Amino acid sequence: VTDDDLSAVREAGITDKEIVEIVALSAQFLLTNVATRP
Amino acid sequence: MRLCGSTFERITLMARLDIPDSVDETPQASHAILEQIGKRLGFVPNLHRLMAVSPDVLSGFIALQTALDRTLDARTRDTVALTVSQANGCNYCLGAHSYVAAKFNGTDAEEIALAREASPPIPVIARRGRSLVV
Repeated sequence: VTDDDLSAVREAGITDKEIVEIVALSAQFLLTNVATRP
Repeated sequence: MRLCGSTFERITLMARLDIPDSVDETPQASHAILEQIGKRLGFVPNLHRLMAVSPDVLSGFIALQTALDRTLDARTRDTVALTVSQANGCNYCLGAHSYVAAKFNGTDAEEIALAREASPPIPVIARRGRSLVV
């Protein structure tokens, strides 16, 4: 995630709370990806 | 670019861990969670049967998933799922998340394709804007 990505998402109205949730969801799906294709 | 259906992909996408064929083949401590999943979905996915070989991993994963299901909105969660799964080349996950997005969350084919083109998901979510994040 670049600084430009972060700026763009904030300008779109996404809060830091929601950004943290997106990061957590990304980690969850990474886990399921790895578990499914170890 | 990955070529779907190529010999390379078929070989590399095959799971190398043994997935229990049934709930009965998993540790007793995993049965209650797997039975709940089975009742909810009508079947127990490979992913959950695999995690069930460690009851601690299964229960930890379910706790994480349950908590994160309360974040954002379903379509944004689908976007994250699709972009992450695309980046990791997990066809099983892409199939599952595309099906859920279309069938249960009203996501159209164009939106699913857009999510699969982006990695990480942040630019797609930014493009959709505030209105799609409830």
